[in-house]
Amino acid sequence: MDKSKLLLSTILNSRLLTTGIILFLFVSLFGVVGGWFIDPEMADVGAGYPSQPPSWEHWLGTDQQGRDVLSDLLLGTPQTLKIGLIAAFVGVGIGTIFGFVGGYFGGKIDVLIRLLSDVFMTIPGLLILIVIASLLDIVSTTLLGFVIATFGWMGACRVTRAQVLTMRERAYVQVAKLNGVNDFEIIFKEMLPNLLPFIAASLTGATAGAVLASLGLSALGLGPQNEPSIGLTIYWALHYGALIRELWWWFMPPVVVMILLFLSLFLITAGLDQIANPRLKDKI
Amino acid sequence: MQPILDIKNLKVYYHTSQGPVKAVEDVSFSLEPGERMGLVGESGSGKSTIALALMKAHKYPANIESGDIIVDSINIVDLNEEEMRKTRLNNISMIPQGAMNSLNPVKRIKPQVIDALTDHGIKLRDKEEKFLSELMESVGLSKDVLKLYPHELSGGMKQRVCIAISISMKPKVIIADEPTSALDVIVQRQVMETLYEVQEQLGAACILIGHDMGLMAQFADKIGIMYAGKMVEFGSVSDIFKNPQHPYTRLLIDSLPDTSGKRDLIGIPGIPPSLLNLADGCSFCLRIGKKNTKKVPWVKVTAGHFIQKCLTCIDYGLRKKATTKRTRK
Amino acid sequence: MGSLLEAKQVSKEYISGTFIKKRNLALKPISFSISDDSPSITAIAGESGSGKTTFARVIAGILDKSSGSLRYKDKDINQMNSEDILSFKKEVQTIFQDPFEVYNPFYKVDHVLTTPIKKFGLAENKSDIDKMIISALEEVGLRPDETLGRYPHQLSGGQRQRIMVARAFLLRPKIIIADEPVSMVDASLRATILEEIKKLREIHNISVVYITHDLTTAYQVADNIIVLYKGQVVEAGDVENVINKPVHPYTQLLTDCVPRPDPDQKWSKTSGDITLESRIINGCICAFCNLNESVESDRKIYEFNKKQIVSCKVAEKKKICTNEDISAYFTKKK
Repeated sequence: MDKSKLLLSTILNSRLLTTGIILFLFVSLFGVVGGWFIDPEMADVGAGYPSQPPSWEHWLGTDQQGRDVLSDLLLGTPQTLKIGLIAAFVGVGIGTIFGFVGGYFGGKIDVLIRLLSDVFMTIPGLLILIVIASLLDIVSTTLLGFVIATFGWMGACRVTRAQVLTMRERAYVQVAKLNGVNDFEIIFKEMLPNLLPFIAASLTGATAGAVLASLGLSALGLGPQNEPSIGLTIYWALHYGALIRELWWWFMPPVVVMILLFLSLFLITAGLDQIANPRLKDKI
Repeated sequence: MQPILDIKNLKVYYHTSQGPVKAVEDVSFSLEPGERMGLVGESGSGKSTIALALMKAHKYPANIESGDIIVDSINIVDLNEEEMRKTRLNNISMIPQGAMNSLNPVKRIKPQVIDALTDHGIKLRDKEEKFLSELMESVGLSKDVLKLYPHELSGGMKQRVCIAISISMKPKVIIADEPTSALDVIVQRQVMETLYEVQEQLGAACILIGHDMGLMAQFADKIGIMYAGKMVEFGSVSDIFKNPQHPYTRLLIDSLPDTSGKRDLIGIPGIPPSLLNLADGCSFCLRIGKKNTKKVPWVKVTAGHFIQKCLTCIDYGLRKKATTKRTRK
Repeated sequence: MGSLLEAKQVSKEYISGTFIKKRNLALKPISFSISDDSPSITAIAGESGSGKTTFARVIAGILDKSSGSLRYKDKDINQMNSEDILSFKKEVQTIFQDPFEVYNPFYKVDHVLTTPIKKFGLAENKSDIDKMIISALEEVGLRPDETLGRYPHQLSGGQRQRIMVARAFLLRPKIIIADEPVSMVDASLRATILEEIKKLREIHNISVVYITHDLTTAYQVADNIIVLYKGQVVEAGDVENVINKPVHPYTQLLTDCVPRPDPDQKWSKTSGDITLESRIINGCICAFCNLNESVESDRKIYEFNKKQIVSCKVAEKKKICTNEDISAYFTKKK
């Protein structure tokens, strides 16, 4: 009861974290709620005259193929977020489990996990993703999320492993062992709660990374082609030379949404860092 | 003799969202050149806050509310940051707690010693070699140590390097904040002897901060006992050990283990009060379940021996003392 | 008369490095036992790196020994069935040095007390658990309403360490291994904790192994003491003998360096370097061994008198110890 109160007051006390969360909610709600008010057909090819500047009918104008930019954006933002969140949760999940197993049990399995994460770190992720994405015929947003996750777990793995290594030697883990607590409970009841801020920070960081990767892939034309996403919008904008033709209402809005999203994720990570970092926590 | 350090009615508060924490409340004492003083107290008694205030190294939300700190007839409370920077190391220097861990691990000892001097605009040029080897010799280290990295030194050697840095400008007052807290007994003795020697050579006044009464008895001429932000007793080392007047001092000395016969160990009951919004009156009464809300006067016992005399708790622990020395069969 | 806990020639070697193995013999073979007929308090003293904490952890079963055998109630630790292991884990308890680190910052202090009760099945329902905790806290002089329901950082170091004593006591152990229980507690609060530890023996018949670097508290708390240096026994026996009449030059140096809280008993003025490194002559820490016998090699232990054994050439004329169990030379309290 007072644990949740404490958590709430810690969150509210951190200005960075609250601003970040509000901004993130704003971006997500923009996509989710905004989608209720528009007609999905507006985002189809030929819904309006092509390349029209903003007007009462099309608030953010239309693109080369006559799609309403606002509708396209409202439908694409949740899809992009979905890719990011799937990749982040799967990646951080795998990374955290690997980190715990390696850090806690050590030995050969740890050597193997460390080797694996070091190898994945050195491989240029985008390059492999391009190869994988081009091998797949039809890419859905969910599939893209999983594909990106295969290159998004190393950070979480390293952070968790390092924390578990120091925590394993902590006296409270020793005391738990003396109290007859088994390994499984030590990991979940003694260690995991103290790692939550780190895991949350990894999650937001990984989300930003995954969104960026999905934008990169989509902009190269390797992303999901059948569902609207911000990456796809950028791909078409590049394809039709929106930048050179100064169709600012076409390429600016997705960029602004992405900037807001990254800003919010950055603020959340920084805020969580502040809470997780004991030196900053002990301010009088 | 003219005191080299004179602290008058010093008050240092931490301003928190819940109210002021009176970390140092109305503390006064003075030291003459060459005198060694021990400042004793539990954690949170304000002893380290005094040290930081003397260096003006205290950070927000700590603030010197009022009082004077006069070092060599300059009131450093009035100095600005630039003037204070020159005073540090030159007039008053500190060996902070855990100093030996503050040495830069990727630099050799020599540049770390010289850095402090160049910061104060001193250029040694051709005298450098001689100056440094003399400085090292004064703390009992060979000049070869200058060429080493911190990790190549033992804990005691690192602590002596820190002493060397702090005396490099021949300060008039040296403050040592628990200089031996992480060291083994043999090394502790050696570091304390080093500190003793350099202090005598320089003729500087020295304040040793700590909670080990044994070290205080070995090192200090005068002792100030801090309790809950106030100085409760001040006197010569023999006043404090042979004729303690304040109940807290008495209990502190009685609780010390010795090796001249087994006895029951008597601890100090209760825990120190929180300094947040601490009311006026006797703080020690709060610990032993008594109450005195009147302001406690600072009373002279004999020449140079003072206590915070609270009539409510002055006799506490007196009767117990008679039975303390009971030897078990 | 048998022994409750018996360590025979136990040693501990740390091996590090993946390809090039670095070996560090932290504890040389040592034999020691705790008898089951009268509870005892034994101090293990030494400086950092002396192997005292390693020794404590090995006999507590926290660290695996590298050689030798450890028996509890006449059963080898390595050949115990799960029931015996559980009783060993319950009856040999450890109190750690750092009263801050032993608490999981995520939980209230209650967590550390309720977990062992549940895990060892000491009480069934909530009210029994509460009763046990309250009586254990009162046993160590804490008021339950001032301690329970708080987070570790809301309590003082002294209170926290006493809760750890209460935790150990809760399990009704036969042996408590206290690893420097007061070194990180304010000097003014040490006496209370040490007195609780003495009470464990006097009232509850619990044997205590008290690990410390502080010879004065060792003298006040323990009956007997073992002084270690670089993983090896230097001197052992009754505290009166070892601390007040030390024979080995190293023990003499240690007792000499204790800052006595008496302004009339100041350290004698020494000249030059008093550290050990400068005192090692021909590989020995004392000036007496003029042999090429290095500290690293196995040294003989001499029986200086019935209650004091010394590993130094200074006692060469005395006979070599016949009993390898150090505790054979200890004073037994009835």
